[in-house]
Amino acid sequence: MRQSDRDAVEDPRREGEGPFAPAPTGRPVLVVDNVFKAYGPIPVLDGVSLSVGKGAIHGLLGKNGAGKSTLSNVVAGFTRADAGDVLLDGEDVSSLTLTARKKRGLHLLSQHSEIFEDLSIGENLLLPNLPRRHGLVDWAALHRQAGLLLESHAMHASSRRRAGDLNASDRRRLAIIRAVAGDTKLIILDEPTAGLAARERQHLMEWIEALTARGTSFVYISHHNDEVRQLCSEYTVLRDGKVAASGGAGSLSADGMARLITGSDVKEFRRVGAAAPKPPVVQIAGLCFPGGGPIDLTIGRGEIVGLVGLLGEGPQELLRALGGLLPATCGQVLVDGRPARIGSPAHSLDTGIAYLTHDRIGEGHVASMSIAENLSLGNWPRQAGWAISRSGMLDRVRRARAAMDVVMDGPDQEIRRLSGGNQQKILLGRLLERTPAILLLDEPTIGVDVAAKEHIHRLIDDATKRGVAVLLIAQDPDEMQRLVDRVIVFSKGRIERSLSAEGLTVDAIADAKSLREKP
Amino acid sequence: MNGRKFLLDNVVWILIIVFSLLAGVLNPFFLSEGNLQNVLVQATTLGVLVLAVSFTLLIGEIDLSVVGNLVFSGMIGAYAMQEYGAHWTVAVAVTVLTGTLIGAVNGYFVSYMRMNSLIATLAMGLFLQGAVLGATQARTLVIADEGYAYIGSATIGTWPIMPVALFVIYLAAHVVLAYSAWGRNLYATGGNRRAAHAAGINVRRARLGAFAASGFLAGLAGFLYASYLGGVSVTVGSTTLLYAVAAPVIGGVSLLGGRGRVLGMLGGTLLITVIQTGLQLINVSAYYIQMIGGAMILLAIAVDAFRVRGEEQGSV
Ligand SMILES: Nc1ncnc2c1ncn2[C@@H]1O[C@H](COP(=O)(O)OP(=O)(O)OP(=O)(O)O)[C@@H](O)[C@H]1O
Ligand SMILES: [Mg+2]
Repeated sequence: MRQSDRDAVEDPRREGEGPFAPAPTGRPVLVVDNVFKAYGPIPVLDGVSLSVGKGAIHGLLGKNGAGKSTLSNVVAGFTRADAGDVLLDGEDVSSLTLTARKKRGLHLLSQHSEIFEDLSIGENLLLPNLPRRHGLVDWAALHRQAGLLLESHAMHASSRRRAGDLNASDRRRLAIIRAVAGDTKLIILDEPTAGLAARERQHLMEWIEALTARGTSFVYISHHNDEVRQLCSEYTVLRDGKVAASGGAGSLSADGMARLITGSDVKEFRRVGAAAPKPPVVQIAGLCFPGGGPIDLTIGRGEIVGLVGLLGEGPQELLRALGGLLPATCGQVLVDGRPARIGSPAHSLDTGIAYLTHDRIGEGHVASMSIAENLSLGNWPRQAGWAISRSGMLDRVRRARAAMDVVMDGPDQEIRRLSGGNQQKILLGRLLERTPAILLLDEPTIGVDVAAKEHIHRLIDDATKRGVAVLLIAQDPDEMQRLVDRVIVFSKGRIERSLSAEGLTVDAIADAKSLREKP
Repeated sequence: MNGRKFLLDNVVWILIIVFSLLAGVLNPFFLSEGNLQNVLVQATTLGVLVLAVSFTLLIGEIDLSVVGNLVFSGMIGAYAMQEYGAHWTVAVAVTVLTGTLIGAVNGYFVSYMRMNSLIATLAMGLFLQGAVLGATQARTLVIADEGYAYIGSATIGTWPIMPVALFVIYLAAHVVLAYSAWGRNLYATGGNRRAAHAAGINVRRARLGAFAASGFLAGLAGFLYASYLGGVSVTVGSTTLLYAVAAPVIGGVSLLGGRGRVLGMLGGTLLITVIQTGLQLINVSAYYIQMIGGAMILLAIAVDAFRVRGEEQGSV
């Protein structure tokens, strides 16, 4: 799509064909040469080679667990490869430390890299090299420099603001500016748009593209193929730790891309909605919570209701209040006609309300515990009343694997060793084991690959066939449209209107979301 | 690669062996049966205290009142017999119950009142030790009851039975921590409190429970110690508390919570005991023992830090 001269290189390479991928223009900024990395018996990276052209945005694609993050970590110096070289601008940096590589202009924004929330934007940008006078921080100079940086990167925010007050996409932007601030050659972005709303995502992508004009190159990891098609000039697909294909991105169709990634056709799942009104499962009457209410809403058996609204204007807060993570200050909730206690997650879960967080690392899994344990957390299969039944836990692991195609070494592997998307599947599996009356899903497919996304959609749909009701938040209007029976639009903490089945187009959902964003 | 990981994971046991051999070369008595018994007996009280501290480390907190708790509950048990003529079994129950109650109070402070555990339990420990000092006027309370003193003094053949208590308690702790829902909830709470809460675990109760368990074990240590000494004395070595905190860390228990195995806690206990007795036996001047002991602990923890760093390359 961009720069047609790059499209010359479009023949998909097969694995094992020489160490170097063809360089698009001139000398590549980054060359990865035959990298191997194994954690256990099976290699995670099995002879990976690729090269990134100057000023290019290089899409790095692959299923959950394909090795994308591992490769990023090897390139950036977080992890040492077992074999193979990394060349930055022709210089072998394989044995350099993370800091040394940063000094040479190689940066990684990992799947969950964060900013210093309690510091100002200016400090975030200039740390660790704050300008000094007489040994003390020179605040005036700091904000002058930071202001220039922000301006030159078209980010409109005061450098004195607290960084934690920024919204999700501005945080990513801040993190990226921090990386590009120095003399930057290459930035690896590991799923930079995960969890962002459609408009924010679009803005962020345009902004990233503009940065390439000054010669910065990017490696761009995403499970959204449309992003890669829009943004990237070249791509590499990893499958099981090997390069499955690479070339110029211009000529790739969406289907072709999905096929390269998964190795087979991906059938898009589309839910056949409920026709007749269903008997209610959950009735919400006058529910108030910090940030919203009162809310009246009835959800029928087997119904999927999508919630749409700006960040902080109700949808997430409603789910958290129902899930017991925000206090409900008035009103009541009936589940199957009986009043439900929703004072804490334990109470909500006991009454059949199961909440899936969007914050997998902070609130989702216990990183130091095993996959089996994370799947049964808070809901231990017991024997003799006190002991945990090992066979019960293993049964659940088996079910989750069968249902969601989880890539793992074994049930006792620590969950933090799983790839991001596979961790997400385990969290969803934990909720499904509860056989809830209603599922509250806040971005259920965040970080999940194209094939697994369809898997999870099917899984949600299956649950509704068993009578489970679903409240769904999904930033992707397309995902929302394919899954929900109706949509509730929030504004300023209240329900503004609802879109019924007839009016449910992708555009209508996207419009409803951005309604109040327009100036 | 894997061999190296195995070595690093079991560094405590390797250090125990290396140090024992070294001490044995310098003084052959160190490797005798008599000294082995001595080491195990010494390790018993410390080992139970180490477990007590570990329960709170697992949830990412710390209990520094265990030594104060030990002498205080020991004193209450002794008074029960002296002043009220309680049967020794009742006295044991009173001792352990006192410890548990103190632990529960700590737990209430930390879990429900959100007090900082480091400071709250430090103060509690000072308070308890001060209370014992005041009540006994620094005199040792002699326990004459043979039943009470049995476990601390009885032998089978030439072997004292005290270490049996140590191993039974450790086995029980292992079963609870590795296999019970209650125990796994502690790990979950320590590993990620918010996630544990969101998963439906009653985090407050789990945290209170960890402190109560710590108090229970401190009370148990109070009984074992009094039984062994045949009395209660307020002058428990001032270094005991430090050892009780250092041993779990040497054994791989994370100060941040969520990580640690019972076998490691045992290893940490034994290493510290071996170092202590070893130094005494090889004629190091008494004035240097503490210094060398401290240096050995530093070394052990440095190796542990190295192990963790190897695992998480690139992190700071
Ligand atoms: N520290 C580790 N120890 C053991 N295995 C690991 C470790 N890190 C990654 N793995 C394994 O390596 C494989 C690749 O993981 P990686 O995180 O690179 O995948 P990914 O392509 O980024 O997936 P995702 O799209 O889900 O983020 C996975 O199967 C994962 O379980
Ligand atoms: Mg990843």
